[in-house]
Amino acid sequence: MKILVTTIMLTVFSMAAGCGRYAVRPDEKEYLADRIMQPDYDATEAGHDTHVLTNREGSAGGSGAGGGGCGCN
Amino acid sequence: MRLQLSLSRLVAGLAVAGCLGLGLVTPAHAENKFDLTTSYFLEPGKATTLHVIRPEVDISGDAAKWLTLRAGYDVDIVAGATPRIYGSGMDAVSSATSFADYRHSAHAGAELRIGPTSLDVNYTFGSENDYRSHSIDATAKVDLWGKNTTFKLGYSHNWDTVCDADNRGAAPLERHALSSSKGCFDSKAVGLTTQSLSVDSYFAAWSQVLSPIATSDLSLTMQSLNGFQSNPYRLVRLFGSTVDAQESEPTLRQRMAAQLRLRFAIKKVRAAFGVLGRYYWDTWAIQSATVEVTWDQYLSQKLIIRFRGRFYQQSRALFYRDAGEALSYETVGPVGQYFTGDRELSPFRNWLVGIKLSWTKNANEKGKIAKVFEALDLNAKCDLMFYEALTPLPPNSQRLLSPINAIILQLGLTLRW
Repeated sequence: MKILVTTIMLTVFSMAAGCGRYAVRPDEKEYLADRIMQPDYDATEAGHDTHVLTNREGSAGGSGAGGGGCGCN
Repeated sequence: MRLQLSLSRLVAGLAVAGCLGLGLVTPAHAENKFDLTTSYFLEPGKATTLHVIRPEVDISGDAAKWLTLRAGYDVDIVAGATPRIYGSGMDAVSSATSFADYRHSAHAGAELRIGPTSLDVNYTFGSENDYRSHSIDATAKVDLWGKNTTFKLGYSHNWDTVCDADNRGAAPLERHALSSSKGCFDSKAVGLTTQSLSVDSYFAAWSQVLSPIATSDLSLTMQSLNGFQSNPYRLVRLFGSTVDAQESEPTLRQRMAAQLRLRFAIKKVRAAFGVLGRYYWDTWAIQSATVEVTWDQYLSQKLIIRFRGRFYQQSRALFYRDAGEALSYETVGPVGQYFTGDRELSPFRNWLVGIKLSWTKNANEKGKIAKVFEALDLNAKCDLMFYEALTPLPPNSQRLLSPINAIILQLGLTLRW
């Protein structure tokens, strides 16, 4: 649990460093706007992936709110 | 075996799709999208091979500058065989029971945008022979500080109904399993009943632009399941093979997950590197860790290749006893009143390696694609899964004998106009 809390705290501080006066200006976002920088660009693929994995593993969640259901055999 | 379902949402979805297709609600400068994707999942195993085909169609369009409507439909076509009884000394060939089922699911939703905020609401209806599900979800989003920071909050609720053998009044060791889905949800059927399951999911996420070449997002989810969560068809062998009783799992489960994703642009080679880490824990004592890395690379202006690697490992549920261990259900009985033959509750690890190709054509100065579309995406992917059990004889162990334990193929087409 200590490792988890430390990891989350480090992550939060690192991400917070991206706010405020360190913010990236719109004219600096050429690379960020590219589709390969958007992990959820293909939402349907992500949905199929989640459906397969959550029905084959004992874990779920982490990537967003969504309906449950089954599909488990 | 439970699959999910969908219906009134189908009607709403078709109405939305019809309007979008006819262009009745499309304002000027709208972005409309049509997506057709089909996946094939194969899990080979001696006499227990599982096939799942899942076609899905989605359509969305801007009805106004501030409103996007969407609808979709998908179906899981499942065929295979699985042992009905979990225990040691079972012959996989003779104990396997064949099954075939369809899970129909339809969804419809809307996204409302006001300034830097948006609200996304969806309804899903799922239906199969032995399982019905209604689900609503809503996600609120706000973009802050030049769109460098995004916060999201989400909630969803499921009202699920599961067909079951009528075991009312029976103790866990006396319960018998559902033999087939025939008669399910028919009020006149004898010996059958329905069980309910409600699912509440909560979600919070923070996306942050870290630099001109790096982004991150951190998300936390919590889910509470309350109701029937066992497989109504599955039997577990107990007490020296003298008792075969329907699987008995707790009716309450609370799940938590924390996930962090980082993504970096590699400017020199026009690529992106992504890494994901997730930690999960629940009140059934399952803990798991997931690590995933991806590399997206432009091969040309139109062609992108993605390589993906994923590792996952989980511990066992508190009440899982492996049939190959000394403390099995057959030798010492259940854990309290609980016993399961669910492989997903056993300890295991798996690896996934995958490749995906995406080809994109955009409209140019010569005009639109087929005089209609602004963009066309075609993609194909193949994922291979390798599964390693961490106990001697987990459920469905016949499916672990192949060198590749699961194959996932997918083809997709997206049109934008």
